[in-house]
Amino acid sequence: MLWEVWREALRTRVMAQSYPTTVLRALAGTRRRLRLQRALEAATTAGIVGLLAATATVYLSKAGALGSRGVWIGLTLAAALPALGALLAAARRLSDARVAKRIDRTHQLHDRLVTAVEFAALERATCFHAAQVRDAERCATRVVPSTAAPFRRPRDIGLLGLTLLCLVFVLLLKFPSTTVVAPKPPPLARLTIAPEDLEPHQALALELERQALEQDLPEVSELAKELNKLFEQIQKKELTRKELFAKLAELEKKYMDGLDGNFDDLLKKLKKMGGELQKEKLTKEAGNALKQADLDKAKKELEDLAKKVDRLKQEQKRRLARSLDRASRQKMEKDQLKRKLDQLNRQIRRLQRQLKQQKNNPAARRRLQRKQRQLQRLNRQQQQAAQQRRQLQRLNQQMKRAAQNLRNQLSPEAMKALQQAAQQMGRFANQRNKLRMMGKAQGQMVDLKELLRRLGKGGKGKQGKLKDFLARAKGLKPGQGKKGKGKKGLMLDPNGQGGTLIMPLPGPPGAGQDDPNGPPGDGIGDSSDPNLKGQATKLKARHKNLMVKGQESAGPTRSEVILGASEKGFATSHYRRVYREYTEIIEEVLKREEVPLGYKYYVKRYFQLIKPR
Amino acid sequence: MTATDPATDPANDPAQAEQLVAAFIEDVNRLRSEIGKVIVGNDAIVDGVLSCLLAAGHGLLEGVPGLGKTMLVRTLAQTLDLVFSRIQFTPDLMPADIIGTNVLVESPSGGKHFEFQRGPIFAHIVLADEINRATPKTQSALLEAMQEKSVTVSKTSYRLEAPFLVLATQNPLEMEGTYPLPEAQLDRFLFKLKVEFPDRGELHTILERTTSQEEPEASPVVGRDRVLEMREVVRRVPVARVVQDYAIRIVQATHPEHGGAPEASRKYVRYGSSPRGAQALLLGAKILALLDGRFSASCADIRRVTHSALRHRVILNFEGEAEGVTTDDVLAEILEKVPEEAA
Repeated sequence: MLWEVWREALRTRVMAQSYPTTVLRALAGTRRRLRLQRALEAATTAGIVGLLAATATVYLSKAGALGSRGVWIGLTLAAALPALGALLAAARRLSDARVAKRIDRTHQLHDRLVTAVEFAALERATCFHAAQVRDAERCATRVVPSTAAPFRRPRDIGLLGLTLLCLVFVLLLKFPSTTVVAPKPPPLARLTIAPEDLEPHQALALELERQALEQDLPEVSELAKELNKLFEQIQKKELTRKELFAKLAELEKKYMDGLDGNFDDLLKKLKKMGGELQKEKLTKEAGNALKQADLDKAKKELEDLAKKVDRLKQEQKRRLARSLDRASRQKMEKDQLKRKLDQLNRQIRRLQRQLKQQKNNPAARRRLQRKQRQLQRLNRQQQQAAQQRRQLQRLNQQMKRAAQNLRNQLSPEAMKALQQAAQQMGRFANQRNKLRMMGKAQGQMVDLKELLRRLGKGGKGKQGKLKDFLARAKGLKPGQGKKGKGKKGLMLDPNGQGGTLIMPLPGPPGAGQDDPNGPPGDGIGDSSDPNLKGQATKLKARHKNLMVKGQESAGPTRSEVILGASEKGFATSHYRRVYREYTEIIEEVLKREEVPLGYKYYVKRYFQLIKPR
Repeated sequence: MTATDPATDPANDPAQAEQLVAAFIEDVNRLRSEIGKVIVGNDAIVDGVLSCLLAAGHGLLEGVPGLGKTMLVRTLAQTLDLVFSRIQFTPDLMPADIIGTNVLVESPSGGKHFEFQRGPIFAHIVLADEINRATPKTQSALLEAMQEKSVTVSKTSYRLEAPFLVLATQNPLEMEGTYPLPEAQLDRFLFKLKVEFPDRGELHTILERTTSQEEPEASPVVGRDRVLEMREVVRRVPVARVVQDYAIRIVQATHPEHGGAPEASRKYVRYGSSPRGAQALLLGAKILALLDGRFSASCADIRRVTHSALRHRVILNFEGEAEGVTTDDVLAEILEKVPEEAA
């Protein structure tokens, strides 16, 4: 069809070359107007269709049946239709004969132009043909294209207006909302923690505050106060779970940032220093304190020593100076972390290269982030180690100065130097205490978070979980059996004579014992099987009694202390010392090692239970 | 003005055509004015009759008696200086009365022989008055001559000299005892012209002219040869395809079975026009164009001659006749419904 149209257009163009100019001009002018009129008519008709399409699109969109993409397509189509219609109509074939006929009719030319259009292209024309063409040429000068093809209002303009009104109506229409409005989320429930779950944490926080005040650690004291305030808010149910997590994170950021320090190396050096000081009578007590890592006592001893300096004899001063000199030779190894840092940096660079090649590798990304965090931590540790190195150096210098002044018989200066050394020791003590206390506080916050997570998952608190655990251990379902009184269990003689260790044990199930199908109890049973000991072994063999004497030493061993704690209680000084040592170690371990949080709880709970009273 | 031989016409000289047309118009106007001296009004009839003459066709005049039909034809013959004969058709008219017969003639030497005596048909312009009163046999003798332009008597054909124009008349009132021309024979007439009763003014003029002492007479203004030349000029007028197509579509619309036929055709027409109707349309349109000073026929010319050319060629069915529908009504609807431009 396109080929036919093109061929016809070409033929017409060839024919038109033989038309007289006036005729051509008349035809061209009229044809332009006719095309324009056609375009207008078609645009109006297509506009009606377009408006209908737009109306349908808007309606469906408002009714929720059409997405945004569909709306765009519909509206674009609606807008494009009039232009498309106009173009197609204007491009439609309009023959010369048709145009000429229109001119003839409107100008009463008695078909002169249409005849001329045909005759002009004749190959064998007679004089009549020529005369007709000439006649048409003369008449064509009078042709007015606007008369031949006046612009008139499109026929469908009324309908277009009506359709437009429909569109406006639909636009103004209000549809009931079909979008599902998400119900307002209920206000977050205030956090409720059972008192038995909260109490231990509160107690720890209060203890922390007390110790911080005692040891004059203002930062730790502040943190402990904030924690206590937090617990009060929890008790009063003023916080939601989310708010509590946020506050804990805030506290961590405020107080815990930069507390990656390691005091062990410094303590080792101080212990060595103590070892040297121990060798001299005057500094023995200070040395002992340092050996036992009792920095507060060491500080006190140095202060006392400083006071005694001017009363010392020459020989004593000389011995003191020698002792101080020996003690001041302790140095911390430089940059032990450097190798680790270099290693980490290499690892990080490798991971970054890997990520550049494999952009979508979430595992590598996570590893990189972890290494970067480790690097940050190591950097902080390095800085703190450097600081400790400087502090130790200062202590050494102060001791050296004291020693020098003692040799030079400059007692006031020596006193001053010793006092400065004591102050430095005090600063060491403070730092160490602060680290320890902060560590405790951090551990407590971690515990609290773990508790919240458990409660958030609909789980039970620690007490509840412990009860369930003990019930399962008994072969009962959690909650089964009512509370019964427990009896004392076995007791082991701390003297090693085959005694028994008395420990409170959970009792038997209450109603469940007589009636296994009875209702579940409301707690842990606290009585025990009366047949716990079982029947005594009947030894048929002959035996003889043998007494073994124990070896005398300075105080009980650690194991004796521990074992004896259950008999003698947790109030002995030996036990207190042992407890402190073990607690420090265990806290360090819990902090450094990757111990699952659940296990951490049990360890801490254990230490709580065996805490010296 | 002597017309140039078409064979030697320069192909694209419009002046030639302009001259021819101008001369044509002049001669026709002279004829009109000369006829107008005798015939009052009826300009359309006069033009129709002239068209029949110039188109080398024949005309059928229908009108009540006393409207000047015979006088018109006679006057026409006078203005053209052509031989005129009038045949009054009666029921007892025989073919020989029209075409002539062989008569036994005695020669001076005493011998006898048959001699053909030409009948009144041997004229240039023949008025066949009340043609529907003669028997079909007699009608056929005339119609044969009209078609063949010759007469055959006793195996001898006698050519009728050109121009040969038959103008027949019919009285639409007295149809009893008449022999209506069959359709096939009606078709031989180029135009059927309806002579209308003159209006008041025309009657005044008629009375003044015909009841006074001096009765006007027409003089010859155009000779036989010029008539023949004028006929040639008419034949030379070109018709554009679109105009011809229009004529064809009009003729096709008279056929009830045709897709483009309007309601009236489908309902009231039994038979439509033959192709002779299209010929009549074109010839009549050419003459009108020439008379209008144009060089080619137009659709408007076709429309003007449609009634004259087709009214006697369209046969109504019983329903049409029963409802009193005329062919003119049908043709009017055809002209209204058939567009000048084909779809």
